[in-house]
Amino acid sequence: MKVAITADIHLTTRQQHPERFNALQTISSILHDQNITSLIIAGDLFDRDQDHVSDFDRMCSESPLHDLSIYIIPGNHDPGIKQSHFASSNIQIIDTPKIVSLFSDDYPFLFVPYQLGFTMGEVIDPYVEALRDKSWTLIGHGDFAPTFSKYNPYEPGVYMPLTNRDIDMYKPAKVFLGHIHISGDIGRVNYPGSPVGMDINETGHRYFLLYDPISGSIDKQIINTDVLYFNESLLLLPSEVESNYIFEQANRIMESWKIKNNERNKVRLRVIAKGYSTNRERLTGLIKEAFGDIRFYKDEPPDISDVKVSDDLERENIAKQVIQQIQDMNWPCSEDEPTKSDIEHAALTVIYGG
Amino acid sequence: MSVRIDKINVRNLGPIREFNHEFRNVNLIFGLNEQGKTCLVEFMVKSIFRNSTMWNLRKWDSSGMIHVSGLEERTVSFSPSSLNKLEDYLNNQHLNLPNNISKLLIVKGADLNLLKNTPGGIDRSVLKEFLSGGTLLDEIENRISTTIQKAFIDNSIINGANRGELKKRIETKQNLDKIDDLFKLIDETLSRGKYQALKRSLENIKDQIARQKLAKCYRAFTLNRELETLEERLSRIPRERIDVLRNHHQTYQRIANEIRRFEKDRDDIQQECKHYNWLLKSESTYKDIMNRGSLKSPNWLLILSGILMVSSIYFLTQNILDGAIISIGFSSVVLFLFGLMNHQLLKRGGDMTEMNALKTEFKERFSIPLSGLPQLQETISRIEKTQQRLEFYTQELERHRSELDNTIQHINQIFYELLGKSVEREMWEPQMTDIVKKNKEIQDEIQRTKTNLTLLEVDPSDYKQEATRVEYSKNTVQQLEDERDTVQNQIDNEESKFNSLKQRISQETGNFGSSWDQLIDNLKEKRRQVSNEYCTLTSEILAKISVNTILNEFRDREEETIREGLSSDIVKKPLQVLTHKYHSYDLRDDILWVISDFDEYPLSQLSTAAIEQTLLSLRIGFAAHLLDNETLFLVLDDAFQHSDYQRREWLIDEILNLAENGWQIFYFCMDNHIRDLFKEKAQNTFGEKFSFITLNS
Repeated sequence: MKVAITADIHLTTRQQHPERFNALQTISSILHDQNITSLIIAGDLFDRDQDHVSDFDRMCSESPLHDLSIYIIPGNHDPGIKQSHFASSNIQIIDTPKIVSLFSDDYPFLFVPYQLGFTMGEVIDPYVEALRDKSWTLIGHGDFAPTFSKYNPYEPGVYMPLTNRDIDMYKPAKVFLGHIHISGDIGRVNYPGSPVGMDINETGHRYFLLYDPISGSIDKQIINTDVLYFNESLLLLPSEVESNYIFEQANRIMESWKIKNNERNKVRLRVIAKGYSTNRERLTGLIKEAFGDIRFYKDEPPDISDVKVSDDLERENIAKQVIQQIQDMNWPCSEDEPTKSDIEHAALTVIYGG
Repeated sequence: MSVRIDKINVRNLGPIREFNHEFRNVNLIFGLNEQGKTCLVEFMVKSIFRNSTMWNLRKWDSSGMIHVSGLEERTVSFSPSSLNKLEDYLNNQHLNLPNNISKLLIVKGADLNLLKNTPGGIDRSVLKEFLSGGTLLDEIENRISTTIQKAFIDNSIINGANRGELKKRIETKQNLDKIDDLFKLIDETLSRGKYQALKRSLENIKDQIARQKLAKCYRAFTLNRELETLEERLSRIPRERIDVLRNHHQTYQRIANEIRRFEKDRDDIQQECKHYNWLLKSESTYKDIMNRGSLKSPNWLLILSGILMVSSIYFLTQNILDGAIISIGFSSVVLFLFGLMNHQLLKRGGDMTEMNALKTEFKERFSIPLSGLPQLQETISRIEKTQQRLEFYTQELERHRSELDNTIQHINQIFYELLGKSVEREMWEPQMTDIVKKNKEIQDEIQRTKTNLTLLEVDPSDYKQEATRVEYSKNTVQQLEDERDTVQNQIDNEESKFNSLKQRISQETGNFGSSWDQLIDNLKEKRRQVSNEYCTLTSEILAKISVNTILNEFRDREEETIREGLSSDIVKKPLQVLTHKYHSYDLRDDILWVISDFDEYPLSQLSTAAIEQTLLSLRIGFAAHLLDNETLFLVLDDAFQHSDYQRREWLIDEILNLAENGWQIFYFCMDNHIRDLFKEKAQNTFGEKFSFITLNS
């Protein structure tokens, strides 16, 4: 028995963001194919309270979503949604903490809707006695303490925090939290992430989760979304073969996306160029050319505001060797450590000045 | 293949309206002042070379092309606006070419110096620049601190002295770690769940304590009610009445005893007084008998006879016989007289019988013999007194009996008062004991109740009449209070931990918020800033270490490159050709020495001519070295203008010698002597390969 879990769809209207509705439609089609009948949406189904619920409501009354039992908890973006806002009978809005047995009483789910000013622990606590000695699953919407240090431009602030102390005290078998838009897991805590990128900062393929509470297995399912955002940076080096250098980087970047050829038209790309160029004037065209048929995000041109001009080719040899050395450097990769691109950019600043 | 300038086509170049010329091996361009020689040289620099800005060239609104062969299979055309310059083509083959190779190939003005204001016109920096590209390394290296120059990366760790950027990076990392420790602490500490559970538990305990308090107030009420009942019961058997009863009872007992004693004494006296009449009669009888004669026995004769007998015994013991006989004689006479007189008494026998009967009865009545009338009278007198006492006793008995009746009446009254009933006299004592016992029991009960009530410490105004569901128990309250204190301590402990954590976060961020959301958000923002700072510092340090490593690799080759360059035939050859004396160079302590077969001198100590020759040979040698013995073009703009006539000849010879070795020579001249000298020598040597152009705008 499996249940599908997603979150943070941030629906508005079909007209404004059809890709968000389509992502939901895609999930439901996959579930239909796999005979999975339950879908949990762990908060922020809507970008704002009850605005535009009608499009979603209508969608749920039609196939294939109509075949699903959809369990929805309010998130920090839609804390005011109520059961009464929806006509479709397969929608269950859980707006107060509630224990639900989706499959078996031995594997209950505790749904905890977002509540402003509360920690997850203090909302969970009164229900834990009833869940004692059971393999229970927490569905919530908020921040998990180990992710506090992660910077999330789409969701600044801290919402209904859950800590490892809570996990240790209440011992849920698994936790699924909405709110963080990127899919991931830390220990027992899983973020399904948004099923489609909200903006240019939410890059790459998106996923939803299939969870079997009995075996505890979690499968990450890729979603064939309408758009794929990518936010890339290019490092420029003044060279007589500058264009080659740009083309090589563009090819490397596109390979790193790991997308199929038929997905190229879904890409919306933002490019920020850094470094030094002999000719800024031709740079924009060169970069666009390097990425071929890839569409730029909102048709905005590559950002070359940080590119400085230098026709000092004498340093090129030094710069090339330094960049090669940085590429070969075995430096740990973490959120606090600079990327090789950062180091290369800093190296060019040392070499070219300025 | 030689790189040669084949042709220049230019218009509107300063005073030159149009210049279209093809060039040969040796080219002499002559023109007076303001004819455009320098403009043409500058046009060549601007069109052909990069970094033309270092020449401080004038701007001309000109158009033209310079056609160069030898760079590619086809002729390459250069103009000031060309993207690709000579260096772009040369660098494909010679990666170590200095950026300012134009300085080698163009000698502008009469200055042969490669470095102005330097003795000898050259120093190590020039050698590095043209032989190793070293000044660029210095320039880049100047952007790297000594600390980082000495730092290195080993196993993904930056090693170096703890100062400068490295110290700042470590400090920033420590700040980051400190913030991460706080996040970890938040993760380990923050669970409002436990806190809320404790608070709920505390509320529950407080509620139970409150119920106990109500139960206590109710208990106080019931105790007070019991107390009132007991006091009411006690008021019905008041102690003072019991005491009065007891006093009356004691009085009763005392009077009863008195009465019994009086009655006994009275009975005794009455017994004695019953002989009073007999005694009065006997007294009268006795007096009658006595009046009729004395019936008194002469006992004194008997006593005297005895004395005389004792005296005779004394005389016998003293052997006074006469005295003994006389005494015995007199004693016998006295004894005789006594008998005689008693005989007379017996003769009066009737009186004696009556007397004896009286005495006998007296003895019977009083158990003592009657000695005579005085005794009889004394007995009468005594009985008379006893009769007086009897009267007194009788009166006292009357009084006591009356008092006893009163007391009994009181006692009965009090018994009735206390018990509501009469009590038989024989039951007085047990009833009284019962009453006292009961009083004592009630009093004890009152005392106990009062103590219990006092111990409850409930103000009477707080007594609760309504019964409570729970029963008050001091132990339960104590247990609840202990439990409450424990839970409160746990809450305090939690709050203390929270407050301490909040304080630490606030101190770290400099923002004092009250909500966890705000505090954590502030800390997130602080971490983002510190992380960015750390990332920037690390990337700069890693970048600089990487750059420095590459610079060091270049520099490792620098000394070797300079020495190799200076000792290479390609560099030495022009020196021999131009000076005819010196054949090699040496670099000692950054000073260039020139060496002949017999002498060696620092360059600056040579004559001016020798220095100029040496510098020209260095230019040619450097260019040949850099271009790997390829020949290019050499542009001399009035380069020998200030040389004396002899030196001009030598220099021209050497320039032409250079041309013979494959170099294309452009000599721009305004001096007639040089023009003629150059023209003559070049014409003779190169013939058709010599071109003379006169600028005449």
